Amino acid sequence: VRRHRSFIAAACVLTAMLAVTACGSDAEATSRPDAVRDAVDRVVAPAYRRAVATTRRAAAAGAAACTGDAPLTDAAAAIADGYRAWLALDPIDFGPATTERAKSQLVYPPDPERVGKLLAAGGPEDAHAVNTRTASDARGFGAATALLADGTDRPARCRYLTAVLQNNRDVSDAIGDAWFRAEPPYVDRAAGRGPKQLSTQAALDMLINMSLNALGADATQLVAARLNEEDASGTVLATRAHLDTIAALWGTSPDTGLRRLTNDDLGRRFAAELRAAQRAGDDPKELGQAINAVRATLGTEVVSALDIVVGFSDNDGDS
Amino acid sequence: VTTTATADRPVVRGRPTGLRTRAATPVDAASTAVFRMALGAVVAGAMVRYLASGWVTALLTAPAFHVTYPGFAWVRPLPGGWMHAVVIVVALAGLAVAVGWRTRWSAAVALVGFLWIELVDAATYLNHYELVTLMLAWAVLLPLGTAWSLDARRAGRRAPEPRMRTPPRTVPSGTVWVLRAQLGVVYLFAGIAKLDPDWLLHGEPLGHWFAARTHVPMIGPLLGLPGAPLAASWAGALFDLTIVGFLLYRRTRPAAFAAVVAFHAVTGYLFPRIGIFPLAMVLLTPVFFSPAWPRRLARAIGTGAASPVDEDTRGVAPTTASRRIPRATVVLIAIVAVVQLALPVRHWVLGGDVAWDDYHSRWSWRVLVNERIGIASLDIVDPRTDDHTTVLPEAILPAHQARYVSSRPEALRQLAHHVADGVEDRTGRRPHVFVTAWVSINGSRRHEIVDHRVDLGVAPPAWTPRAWVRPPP
Repeated sequence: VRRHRSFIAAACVLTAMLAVTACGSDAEATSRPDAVRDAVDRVVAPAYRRAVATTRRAAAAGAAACTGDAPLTDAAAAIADGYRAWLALDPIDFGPATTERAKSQLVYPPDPERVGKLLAAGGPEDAHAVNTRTASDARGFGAATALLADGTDRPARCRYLTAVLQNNRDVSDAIGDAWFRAEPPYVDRAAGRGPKQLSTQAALDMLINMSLNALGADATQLVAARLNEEDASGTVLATRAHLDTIAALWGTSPDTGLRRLTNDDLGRRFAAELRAAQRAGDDPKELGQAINAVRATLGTEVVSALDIVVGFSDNDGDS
Repeated sequence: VTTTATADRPVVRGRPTGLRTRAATPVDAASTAVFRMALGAVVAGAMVRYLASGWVTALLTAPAFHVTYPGFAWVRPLPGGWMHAVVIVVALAGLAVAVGWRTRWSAAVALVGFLWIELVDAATYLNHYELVTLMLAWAVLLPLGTAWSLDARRAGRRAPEPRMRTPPRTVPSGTVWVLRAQLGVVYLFAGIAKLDPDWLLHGEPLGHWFAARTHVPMIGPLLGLPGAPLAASWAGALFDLTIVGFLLYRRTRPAAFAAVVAFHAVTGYLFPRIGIFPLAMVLLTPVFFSPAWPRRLARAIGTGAASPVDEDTRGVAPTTASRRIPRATVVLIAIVAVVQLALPVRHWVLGGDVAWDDYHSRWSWRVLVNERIGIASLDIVDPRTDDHTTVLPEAILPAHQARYVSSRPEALRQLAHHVADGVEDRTGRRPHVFVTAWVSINGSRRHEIVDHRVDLGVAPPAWTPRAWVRPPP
């Protein structure tokens, strides 16, 4: 015993550590997966369901407007709803949405000039042509909005609009199927349930990184719009949709959303910054400043508190 | 003076001997041989990992911008596939070191290649790269290929007389001490770096790192216990500051080594992004054991015959030693020692707050001692038209560089120069580059780290923080 007492001491310490571990409360141990599961079930999944449903409504409204069964204003409202619903997904754009290239198919910023030229040339004949042979800035909800604003020849415009909305619906349905009807549904994987589930850390990394990407794009586009005196309405629309999603992810009280994973001070301050940004006016300078504050806190303190790997890079870290 | 070597330590009879004589006393070369094998394996493994992960392209050749070390801006990656060739050569040299083939030359090749890879981009800095670099340098200078090596076998074959064909199995005891001291430096300064209010009083950054890991199997609940971060912070600091003493003392050595294994296993498990540092430390630390430990272990597990020089299981034959380590060698080692002791604490003299401005954090063994996270944007202004463009680091840099640059003033200055150079090349006019960067240290409240009113695109390089670096909060 005397000869091996240092080994025995080390073994005792190890045993004590394991005993403490075994007796330790597991309430804390489940809070992080719970928070992610809650975020997916309460914010992410409903947002995707809403986007899929509004896209279907927009396609139906567009078709009804083209056949004369409903006024154009109904189609315009439905398309605007769909557009907003997909813009709101930017901060949670992962999984099937990435696979189906939702960003380039549905919500790429439109180029009305290119849409006009394509329309003058007869437009794409069907949804397949829109999906495979049409530029990103001449399809999706942005192009549909531009087509509705164009007062030219009704049949060609309707053919183009119907093809765009049908492609929107096909892409959106594919994403919805993958999220909710595949085996296993992606919603379960993202929430950490059942087979092929994502790790809690992977899901958190995606939520925060995609939110940072969306805010970064908003910040740069707002500056460009302000300084170059461009029309900022599209950027403002996207920014507001992004802010709403991030605010929902963060939660409204200390025991909701991702906020529960941080301390009270950070939770309160970041929620206040989000509220201030949501309330900011449409002036690009005012909104830009508010967005920069949100982005700065999200990119530093929140990233630190949630131990996020910014940029998903998997090389060895800073040690 | 009569000095007798045993398997464990030199026995000195007669009057006390000087340091140079004691350092020349022969001891069993077995532990240095195992050390060499471990070092070579770590080098080869690191390079294979680099290749397999696609990091040669992603980290070295693909980026158009590299964060450079002061004085080493001239170190650039080779074009095309040549950088892959360098990594492969270093891996092969590592294997050559492991098997002891032309040990010193192989170590020299590995050293040059490894240093090159390391110096290309400061954004890839890791403390274990520094450790491996220093150990390779010692492998060039010290006789690590004496035993259990192809060099030893070749030397035996070439011996003119049969009695001289037994490979030498001893090294000067100074060899072992230098290797131990080098490892000791890592632990010592890692411990000193932890003597910091955030670490000792607030338990940070371990506090929020633990909070994010309470779900990990086995030790997760332990991390969530109140006081766990503070206890772990103190334990970590005490471990680093005292482990070398416990490793040197024979009675505590086994337990100390067990603690080293446990400490690095837990560290590697909790923080996988620190790479092969824990493995390297565990593999190299056995050099603190008796120089004959591998021979004894081989004998204990019944595979003693595996060693080509192990027919004498008692260890090393008594040797009369009257040689002394050359004075020049002592002076060289002393200079290296002074540099290594001064470099990690240079911020005490050069100024600045190393945890905030990061100017003197490299080559300082500040292993996982703080966490810095930043976010930045660059406002590029055309001096003639006053047109503004905003650029985000993550939009123009790979993720690892954007993450590194965004929180470090000197790296931001270098990026501002890079952006300004690019615009000047295209337009013929050098723009102003104003940087807004927010940094959170150890999860603390964010603060601006550089003055956003200063044009960093023309700011000169500096070894210490300049006025445009904002003071710590």
